Amino acid sequence: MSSGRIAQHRNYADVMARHERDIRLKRVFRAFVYFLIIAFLLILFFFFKRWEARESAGKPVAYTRIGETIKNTDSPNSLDHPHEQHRG
Amino acid sequence: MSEAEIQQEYTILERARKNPKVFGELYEKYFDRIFNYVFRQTDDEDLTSDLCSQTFLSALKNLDRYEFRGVPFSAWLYKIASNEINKHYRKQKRDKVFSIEELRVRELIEQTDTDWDEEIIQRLLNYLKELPTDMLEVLELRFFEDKDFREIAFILDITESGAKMRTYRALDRLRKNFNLRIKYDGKE
Repeated sequence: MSSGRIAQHRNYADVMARHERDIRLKRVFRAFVYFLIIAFLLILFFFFKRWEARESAGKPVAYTRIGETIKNTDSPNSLDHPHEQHRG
Repeated sequence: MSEAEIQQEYTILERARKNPKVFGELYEKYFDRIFNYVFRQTDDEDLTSDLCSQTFLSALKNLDRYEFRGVPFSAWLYKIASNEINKHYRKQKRDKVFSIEELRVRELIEQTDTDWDEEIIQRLLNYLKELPTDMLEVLELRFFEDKDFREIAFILDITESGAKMRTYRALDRLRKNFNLRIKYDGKE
């Protein structure tokens, strides 16, 4: 084939344009992958947070009051009960 | 190719890694050779143009991976081109085509001491059509592209002795059938 005819197919500008487009696509793809990884980590984080909150809400809370006497006024044997005083 | 030329190409490559526009110098230098090499194995101008672009694009993309292994940069381009051609034929599920120009065959015969005429050339052309692809590949690279055995081995991903063996077998067939004494490694 003659070199003049081959020269018609020579187009470095086109090769460069394709190369730059490939690089851009690669960058977009990489950014998308990073976005997916970050989104996945965030989902994991919030899931864990919610799970932790739910776990702590379900458990009975134990607390102590210091220096306070607790009276039970509803007991039928209690001396303070007005009906019991009548009967006696 | 001299050591100085190889070194000069390597310097261009180093620059091209930082600025892809510099690669244009090597593109201009090797485009014709790669185009002819691909065209001989496709016989289709548009397809050759596509495969050629793809070859240089792949080279540009993988410049960072290129390392000097004792063969000129052009051998690496031929290797990429060869891979692109094979990929194309695999995808198309077709057998490889080899188009050998009559002019090249004449050049090949002129290297011999044998008397030749038109009939021998036609017979030789017909005979080459019957040769297995692997033999045609080495003959093409050795005699039409002027590659040494180390480069042929690198391009076709075979050992150097394997490349020599294939060439020897191909030439031996020609010797037996046409009584042609073609130089095996340029020294004979």
